[in-house]
Amino acid sequence: MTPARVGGALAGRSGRAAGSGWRWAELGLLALAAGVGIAAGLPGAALPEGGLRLTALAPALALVAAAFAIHVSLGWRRPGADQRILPCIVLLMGLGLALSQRVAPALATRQWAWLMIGLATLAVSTHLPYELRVIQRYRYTWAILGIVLVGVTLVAGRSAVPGGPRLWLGAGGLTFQPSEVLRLLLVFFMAGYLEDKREILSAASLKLGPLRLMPLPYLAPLAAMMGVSLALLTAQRDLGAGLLLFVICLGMLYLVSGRSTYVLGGLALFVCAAWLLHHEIAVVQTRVAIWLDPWSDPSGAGYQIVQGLMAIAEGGVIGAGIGQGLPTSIPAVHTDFIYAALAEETGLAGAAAVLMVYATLFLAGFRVAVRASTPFRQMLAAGLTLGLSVQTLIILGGVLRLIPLTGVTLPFLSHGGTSIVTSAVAMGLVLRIGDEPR
Amino acid sequence: MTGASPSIAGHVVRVAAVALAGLAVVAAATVYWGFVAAPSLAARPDNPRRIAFEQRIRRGRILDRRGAVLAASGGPEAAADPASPPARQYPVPAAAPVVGFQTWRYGAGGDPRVTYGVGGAEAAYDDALRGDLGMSWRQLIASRVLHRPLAGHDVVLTLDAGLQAQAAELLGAREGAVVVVDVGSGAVRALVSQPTFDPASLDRGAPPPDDPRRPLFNRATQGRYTPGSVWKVVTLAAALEDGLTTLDATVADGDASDTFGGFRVACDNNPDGVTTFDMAHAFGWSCNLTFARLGTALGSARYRAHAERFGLGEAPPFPLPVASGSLSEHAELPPPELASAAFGQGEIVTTPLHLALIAAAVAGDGGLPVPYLLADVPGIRWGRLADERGTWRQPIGAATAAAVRRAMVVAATDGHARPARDAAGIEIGGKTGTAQLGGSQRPHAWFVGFAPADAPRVAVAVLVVNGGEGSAVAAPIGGRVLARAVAADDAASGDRE
Repeated sequence: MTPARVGGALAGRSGRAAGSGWRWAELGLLALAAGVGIAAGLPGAALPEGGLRLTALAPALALVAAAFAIHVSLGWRRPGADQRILPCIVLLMGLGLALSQRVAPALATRQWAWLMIGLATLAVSTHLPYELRVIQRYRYTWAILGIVLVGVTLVAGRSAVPGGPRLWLGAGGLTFQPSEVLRLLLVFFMAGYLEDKREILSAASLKLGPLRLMPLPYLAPLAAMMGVSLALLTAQRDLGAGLLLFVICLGMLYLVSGRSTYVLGGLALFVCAAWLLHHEIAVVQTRVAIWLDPWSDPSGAGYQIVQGLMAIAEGGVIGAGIGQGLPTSIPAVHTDFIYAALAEETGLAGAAAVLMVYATLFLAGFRVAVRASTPFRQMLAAGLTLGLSVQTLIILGGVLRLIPLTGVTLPFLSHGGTSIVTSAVAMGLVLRIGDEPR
Repeated sequence: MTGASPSIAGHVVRVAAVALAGLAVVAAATVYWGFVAAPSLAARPDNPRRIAFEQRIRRGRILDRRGAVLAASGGPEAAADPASPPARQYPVPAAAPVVGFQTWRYGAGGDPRVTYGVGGAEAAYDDALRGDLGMSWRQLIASRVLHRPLAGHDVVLTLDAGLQAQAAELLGAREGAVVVVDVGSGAVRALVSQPTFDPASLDRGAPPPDDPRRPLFNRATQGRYTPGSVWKVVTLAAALEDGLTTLDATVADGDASDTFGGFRVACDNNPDGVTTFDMAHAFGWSCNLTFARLGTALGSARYRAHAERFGLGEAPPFPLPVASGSLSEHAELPPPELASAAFGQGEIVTTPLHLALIAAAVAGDGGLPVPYLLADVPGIRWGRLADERGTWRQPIGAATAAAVRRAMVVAATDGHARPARDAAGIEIGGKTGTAQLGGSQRPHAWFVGFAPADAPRVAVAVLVVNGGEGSAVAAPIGGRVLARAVAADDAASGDRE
């Protein structure tokens, strides 16, 4: 089944309303998402003596109101945009808010503010009256901006915990994580650059025995951008972001060329790099050791992953119920381990539902890419969606001990302002691409 | 503007398929950890959920047969602070060997992390006490989904708190055990093991697991001791059952002796100058020679068969851990060992609980009852909850039992068990034992008996480890316990009427 057919089956109608009036599919799904989001907040708002504390539901209601406003604005200005993307995002945001109130109540208001900013960013990136070609035109600017950003962080970055990796930039109370922005800038650059060199990259001009390689000169800027950002991230010990950028680069190379040679070559490169990193960097060794055997030190190095797995185990099929589990025993549960909290309190049922929402969101994004009107828009939509999917898989794989744990956020669900805003920009652009004339 | 690229669209489809496959793997891994591996993860002692969830339960109380509280917990409000888990109250410390313990710090010696542990009746009836039992599957699902506060059921034991406390007090600081069972039913009225522990102190990590006094070891059910002359009850019953002798048979063993495979045995215990007496008095005066002769006459194979019919070598069904006794390591007992076993010496060992059941058998219709502890769980329909009840073994008929009973009354009237009758103040039947241990060790003092003599209702076994003479040390304890048990039984019947 192609993604388009999967997506079509899920939504019941095609993305483009084509002047047929109201975006009913989006409205219906949005009502469903709003219901789930508000319902998830009910246990936290319930008073012990019965009744509800309505002020506790206000953030969720404000979120839902903002979502409906965007729905109306889409119908007015972007009637052809995909109708599944907004409801999926709102559902994840609503659940994320409820979980945030549950596991990190002190940070919940801040998280709500970021979610509102995220929705605003989504609206802005969808509605701004610029041509998408602007992104293509300034591709080298994005590349340089990204490298500068990481460089500045390396020099002036701050750490969330004393002695920890310095991943944050900012002044006063406002900080942001440059690596999240870098992900966006990398997709912009690669979509523009690769589209530009598409003909050359697809043609085989260099043969090495049975292998057909990409013309090396055209690889150089790409390799430079990738190498510099990866090296900087490695220096920062931000392994999750490094892995994410690497996979995005490989994925976009494949998207433009369809060559599995690139993927295999990239994987070979990855194995070499991983081996080197494992030998040179202590934190990589630790992470791999914990991944291979968290049980040997369950109260020390393996504590977080073991506690996370125990939380998932506790959930069973229907979960302990929101507010009834003990997810707060997991360090960083509100960011990296939000999925474990979700699985503990809503069970396999809730986890499966959220995974299906992610699947729907990604398929909708890829479907926009398939249908986009120009190669650049195809590359951009696919790259942005790919970034979100890979990020989701990296953190979920880490939490579930499928791969070594590297700290990245779960899009729209985890705590973390920069991640919400950059993910919202990405999906806003995908919404916009979906509405371009065919 | 160039047109869309069909080749890119094709690649997007493949990338989307890979992303979807990735999510499928994530879903499978979630099912693995959340379902397949979940039981083993949930059972890990370092899982903080175990204690957190246990503390939400309002655990049921443990009551004695007349409603006296043996164990009770504070409510869930007391559990709000996980740093100081609610201490379970144990108002009758003497009942610790039966009631057991419930602690948040089990295995405190090795692992500093707080975990949940239970022992004794707290473990045996954990399901009922936690409230899991007796719920239909619908109630179980509803209580889980709706997060109803979990309340456990009260559990009523057959135990008599007053009797238990008195028996423990009579033992005092001495190491030993007292078991009182109901003759007809096998209901356990008292089960004392000393030294014991304070169940409420386990949360503070006491006693240490390597305490040389072994306070957690239940001597009444798990201790294997040489029974000495109290075992003559079994030898007499076997000989009577097989028609080898009668109670009126004349025995002239008073100043005689004989050798069994080179092992010389004399009567030893008869009053000076009394050399000829009937079988009942040979039993009452605990004449070793007579019983060595009876054992030898039965022969190794028959003797073993009788002992096994009395349950030696097997543990009776019981909610607490029980050890089984044994006759000998030899399949065919050599003559000296057979002669010794017949009067309870040599290789033979068994538990105080077992000897109480033997006393109940001869006090009743000859059948050893299945001992049980659980009287009732109010509000719960009977079912798999109940302890097993009934007859465990039927080694002898009612007539033989009546004859042995008569011999035990003689022993308590004219024989060495007289101090027990004097202590009781009522007519009883009994048998003392002084189990020789060899070397310089003091012998174990034993008493088994029943009361009242004419229509026995309660049976007892008393052991004082390295206590000395059974007649001087164990018999008075047994007598007082029997009197108290009969009085308590009268009071309980009065309650019911």
